[in-house]
Amino acid sequence: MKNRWLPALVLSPSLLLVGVCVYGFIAFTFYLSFTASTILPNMTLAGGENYARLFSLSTFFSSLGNLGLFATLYIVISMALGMTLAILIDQRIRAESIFRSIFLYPMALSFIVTGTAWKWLLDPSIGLERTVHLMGFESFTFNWIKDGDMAIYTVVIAAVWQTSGFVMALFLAGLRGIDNEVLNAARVDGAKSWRIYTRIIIPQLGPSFISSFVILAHMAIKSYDLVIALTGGGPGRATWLPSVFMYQYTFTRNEMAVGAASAVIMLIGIAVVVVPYVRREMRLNQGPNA
Amino acid sequence: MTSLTIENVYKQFGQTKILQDISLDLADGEFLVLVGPSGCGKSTLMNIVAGLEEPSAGRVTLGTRDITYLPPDERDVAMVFQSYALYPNMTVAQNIAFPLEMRKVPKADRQAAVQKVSNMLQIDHLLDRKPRALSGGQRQRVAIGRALARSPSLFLFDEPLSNLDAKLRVDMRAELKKLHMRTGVTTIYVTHDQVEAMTLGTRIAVLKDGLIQQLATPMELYERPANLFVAGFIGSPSINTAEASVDASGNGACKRNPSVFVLIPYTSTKPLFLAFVQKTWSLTATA
Amino acid sequence: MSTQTTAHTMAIQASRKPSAFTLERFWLYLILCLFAFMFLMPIYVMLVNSIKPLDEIRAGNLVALPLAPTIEPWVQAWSQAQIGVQATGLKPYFLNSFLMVIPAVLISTALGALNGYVLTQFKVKGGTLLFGLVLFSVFIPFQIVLIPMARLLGELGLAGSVKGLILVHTVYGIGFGTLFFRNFYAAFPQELVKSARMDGAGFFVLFWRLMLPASLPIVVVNIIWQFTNIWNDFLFGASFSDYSSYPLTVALNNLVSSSTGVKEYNVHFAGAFIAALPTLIVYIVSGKYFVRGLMAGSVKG
Repeated sequence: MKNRWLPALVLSPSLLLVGVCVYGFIAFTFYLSFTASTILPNMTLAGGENYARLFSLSTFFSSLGNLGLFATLYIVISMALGMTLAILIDQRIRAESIFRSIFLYPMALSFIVTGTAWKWLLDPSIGLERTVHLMGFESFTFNWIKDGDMAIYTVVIAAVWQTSGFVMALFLAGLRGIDNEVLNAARVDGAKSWRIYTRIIIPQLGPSFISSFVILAHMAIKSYDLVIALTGGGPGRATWLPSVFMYQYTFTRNEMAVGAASAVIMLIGIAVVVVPYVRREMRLNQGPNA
Repeated sequence: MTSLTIENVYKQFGQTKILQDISLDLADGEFLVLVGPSGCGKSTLMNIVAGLEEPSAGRVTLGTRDITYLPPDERDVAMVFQSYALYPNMTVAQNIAFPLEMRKVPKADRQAAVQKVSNMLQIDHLLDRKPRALSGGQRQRVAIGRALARSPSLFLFDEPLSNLDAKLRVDMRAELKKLHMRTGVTTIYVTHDQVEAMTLGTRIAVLKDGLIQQLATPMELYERPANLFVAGFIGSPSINTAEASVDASGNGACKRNPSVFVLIPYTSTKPLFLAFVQKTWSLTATA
Repeated sequence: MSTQTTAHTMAIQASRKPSAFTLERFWLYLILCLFAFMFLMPIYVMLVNSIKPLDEIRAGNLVALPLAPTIEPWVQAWSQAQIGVQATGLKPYFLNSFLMVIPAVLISTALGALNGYVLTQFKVKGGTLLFGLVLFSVFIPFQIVLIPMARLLGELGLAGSVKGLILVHTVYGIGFGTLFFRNFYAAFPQELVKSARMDGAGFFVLFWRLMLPASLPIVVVNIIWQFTNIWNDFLFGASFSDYSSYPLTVALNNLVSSSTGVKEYNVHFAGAFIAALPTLIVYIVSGKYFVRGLMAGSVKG
């Protein structure tokens, strides 16, 4: 290559943009979280008082609690459902691609659309509860979405609906990568279908489990759109997640530094899950730039 | 008696005929080799005997049991695959013990069997490794060990040596022969390599296009091939052929060189091929 | 290799006749159909109720078919509904989304392709680290950049404008694009590259004439993925736009979440459908490209 600097030159706009707008901004927000900013950024440092305030706020704690509950249910149910769907579809189904398309299409939708649809579906006055009433079961109640204690579960339902198809696609790819002769060997060795799945197939699905966990976990932490559209954070603050907290405190309550601190907490949460994955990918992908 | 009988087995996929009227009779302890070019149906036949596929017609009997439609695990048949098909998430010991586990053999007995088999195959130092940490030859022994551990009535080998390098292949061939002499288990062995077939088998079945071309001992195949295909397939270098015809007076003539006359005690109106193995001929000059 | 496996699978198991109607297969199809029903239900409800007059919805059953179907809710949603302070329907915001998405997708795809090319074909100091940084950047919670980005847009005079949104989406789309192309180009046969170089192909020729044309499927995958993500975004839209520059998702949320007045469910559903249509159409048309996009971020050994 004659021009040794050309590759670097070509990379530089992106490097600049990503460097500034991702890592520069992370640093900025991080710094902000230690300042006394309220409506506008204020560069005077205020030590760790924002974090102290953060962890003294019950709204933040309940946001974290909600996230914990939401993320756990969301991840576990999505993985179980996704894996089940993948195994079912892998049974040489006719019209396999139709079923796959049906399970996967929610991924094409915006969370706002999903939230809107489920919001009314689960609304007691026109949705599920009312429909069942009209069918004759007068005593049926399903007002979770209006119930402070139960509303978070409606978010789980909508989120699982949206992304199980994706988990299914991941597991399906994993299933199809399993050597068929190994399965034949197991049949000859006397293993029945159930055993083949539990002893041979599922243990080999490790990469699928890891990938879906990383992606589901990070999506759970980032969840914002769905909550806003489905419950608006409510009733009251019953479905606040840290992402909602951050937005509210930064833009509505004019406590920017506290909002920044909550964003930092979110970043740390994601980093814990994602950094090991990123490092593994880095090790596996040395390319010509080792 | 664990003799295997295959009677009039057919296999068809839609219009494609994979196997046509295959009949074989194996004596107890026999080592039968199925040999033929790719696409001849030998793997399909193996799968049918193993229970991985069902025949379109026909019957398979092992000993006194009709196993034609039995699932693989009820057949008491063990198989060694071309790619070895070891369970990647299990250790060597677990791999070998797996079929015993499936048959609910108690742990102590399983461990004893694993020891015995791994000693015999000299893989006892590898018991805690996973398949990906093994060489091709080692994996192959584990695959054989897994099949052996069950003391089955029938062994099936599906081109087990194809993925090994040349030297290893020769070594393993000798080992397999020794193993068979030691265990005496009835065996069907599939290969596309006729040298392997000739060295290993007590009898050989040559397949082409789903039909058995000839079923005989190695010497018979070599000296008396039943047709042109078998003649061309067996023997290295391959047999010499030349077209010939017979005239009314019973004098055969070799077309390639009309001045060579061969007296054949054979009359036929159909075109003939003359096939001869080098060493059976000597030329004498006649004036 | 996978076709071989599939054929082999079929060869081994075709004898079990997958079309045979055993009890087991019956349960299998039944369960799958049940799940399919649950997955389709929300969109069915949305569609069906978007063409019902309001009193039908209130009087009746969400799953019932309309007795007096009308396209009025769609008309309302498109051009007459109250969004914020103006009763313009979703049309202007639909346009905003398009104006925002198209440049952002094109630019980030182009940059992604170039970056992927450079990272895989040239020795760049710290290339693996760069890869790691780019990979990580794709996962960050965007809340962490909201404040400084708002500041930056203000400084550039782009606050509350569609142009500002284009900038934001382009910047945060570069990471994904780079990853997609990098993974693809990393597996590109090196012999082709070497022989092209020996033939005298320079930096841009190699890219433009050899690698880019070979990566057209990935270009498509990238475009589909970016289009879907950017069209569906809400957070950036809500944070960086004002009344005139709302993208469709923000406008829709505005429409649906207004707490004043009568809740016109049918208009909400129609609006949601309008917002969903472009990405749904892309999904249906692109089929396996969509799936490839999904998978590209994930499974690696």
